[in-house]
Amino acid sequence: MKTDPLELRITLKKFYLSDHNHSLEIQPFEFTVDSNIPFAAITGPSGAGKTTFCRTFFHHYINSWIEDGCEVQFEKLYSLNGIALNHTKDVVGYAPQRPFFLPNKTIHENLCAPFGWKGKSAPLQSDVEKVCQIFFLDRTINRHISDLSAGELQRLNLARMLLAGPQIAIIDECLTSLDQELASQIVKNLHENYTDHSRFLIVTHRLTDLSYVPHVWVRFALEENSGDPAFFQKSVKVNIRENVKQNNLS
Amino acid sequence: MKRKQRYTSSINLINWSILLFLVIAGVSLGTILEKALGTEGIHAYVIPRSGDIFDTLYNNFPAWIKAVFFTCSMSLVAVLLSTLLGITFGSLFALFRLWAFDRISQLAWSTPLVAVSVYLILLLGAGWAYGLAMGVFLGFYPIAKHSFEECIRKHEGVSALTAAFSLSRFQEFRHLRFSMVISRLGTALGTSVPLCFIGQTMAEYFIGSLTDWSPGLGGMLKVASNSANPYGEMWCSILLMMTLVFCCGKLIDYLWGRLYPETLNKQEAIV
Repeated sequence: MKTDPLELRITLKKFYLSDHNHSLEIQPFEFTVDSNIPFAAITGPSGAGKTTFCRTFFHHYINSWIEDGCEVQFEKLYSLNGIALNHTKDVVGYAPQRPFFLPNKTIHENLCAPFGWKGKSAPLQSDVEKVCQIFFLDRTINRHISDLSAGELQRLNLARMLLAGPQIAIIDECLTSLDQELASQIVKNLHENYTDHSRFLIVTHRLTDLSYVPHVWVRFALEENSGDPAFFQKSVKVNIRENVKQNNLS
Repeated sequence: MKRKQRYTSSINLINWSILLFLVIAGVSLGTILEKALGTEGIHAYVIPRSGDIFDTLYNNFPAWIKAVFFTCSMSLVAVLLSTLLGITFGSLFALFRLWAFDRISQLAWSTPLVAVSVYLILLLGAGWAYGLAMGVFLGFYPIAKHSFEECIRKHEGVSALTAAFSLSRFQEFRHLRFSMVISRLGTALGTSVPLCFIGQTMAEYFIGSLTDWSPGLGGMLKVASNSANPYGEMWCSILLMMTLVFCCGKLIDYLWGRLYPETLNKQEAIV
């Protein structure tokens, strides 16, 4: 039997994060994205640790964020086999909630400039045009960054991430400023154009964004048995504790 | 976003209108009091008298032009030097993770820098560059602090780009952090430029060599203090200096607004 080259099984064995104010613990879970179901939607209430979990895909985030041990394990198959945890950043693309763009530059310059920094060859013009069409930026490609709306900036953020060709693309609430119809269309475009070499983890609060594509729902729940178990394939229990300092009032 | 920009513009307009009103009201009040009470009624040290000021300007116009030109040019050189030094040192401290700079900068900001600098004039001042040294000394700190803070600030967009393109720390600084420093430099310059002007004028006043070509506004203030009727010239120097400081501050605000419209704020306000 031929194995799907991009089957990605994510197994979280232990996740514990603590700082001076609070601690976050995510219970172990496992889910798989493959060519049949290339999208995973991570949802849950604000502050449940969705973004923090996504950031741990980069090794340097683990060093800077985790104090008391964190382990995120990929059980890799075929092409992802052999990628050590500290090399995941080479195959992971992350579109953050608060992206950074080069000020005083156009969309085209923002898309192409990062490739020159590392001495890589600039992306092909056809690739740039394709990614701009997918995200409906083709008419605004020469517009200045300061002239773009929040929704256009979010689309540019996604376009720049995908132009680098990541195998695992993490989209962290980057569809929030788009209307329902446009967000669904973009997800549909992603499914048609990128699922042959990329798998997607999408952090979202809007459940309808992924209506038209096959996906697995992973819900981070702060309470037991919250949400409809028939709707959410995976319900992950998250414990958040406030670290209250003991005041010696007596 | 446009509503926010309109709101900020309105607030700026109101602030500048209030300042303009206060200046006009101050000079008018002085003139009215002078007419009502006579020249001996109220001391000229307290309120500027428009007659004296205009007479002073009219009688010695070329000297005032020279003074403004000298103070302005030396202050702008001081701004340039303090900007270059501030960005270089602030970025280097951040690049090499010299966290002590943060504490030193807090200490520096809590001391009365302007008062201390008067004593430093005696050490730093030499030849014609006395004001330059003072201006750079006062203008350096806000720029260095701004550069340091922008370079060490946690920004998930920068971290994501750094990771996605496997940038080294130096590449991250050169391509990402430096852009952030420059695009928000306007705010730091807004503090630094007035300090450079103040430092230059103070140095001219305290140790200025009153040569024919380099009196400066501080030098004119010094000349005025030795004359029989000093207040017209003193008020003239002070008002000219204030005008220069406000005009330069407004000019920088305008230029940075044009060069770098609120792109970064918009990016951070996406969510």
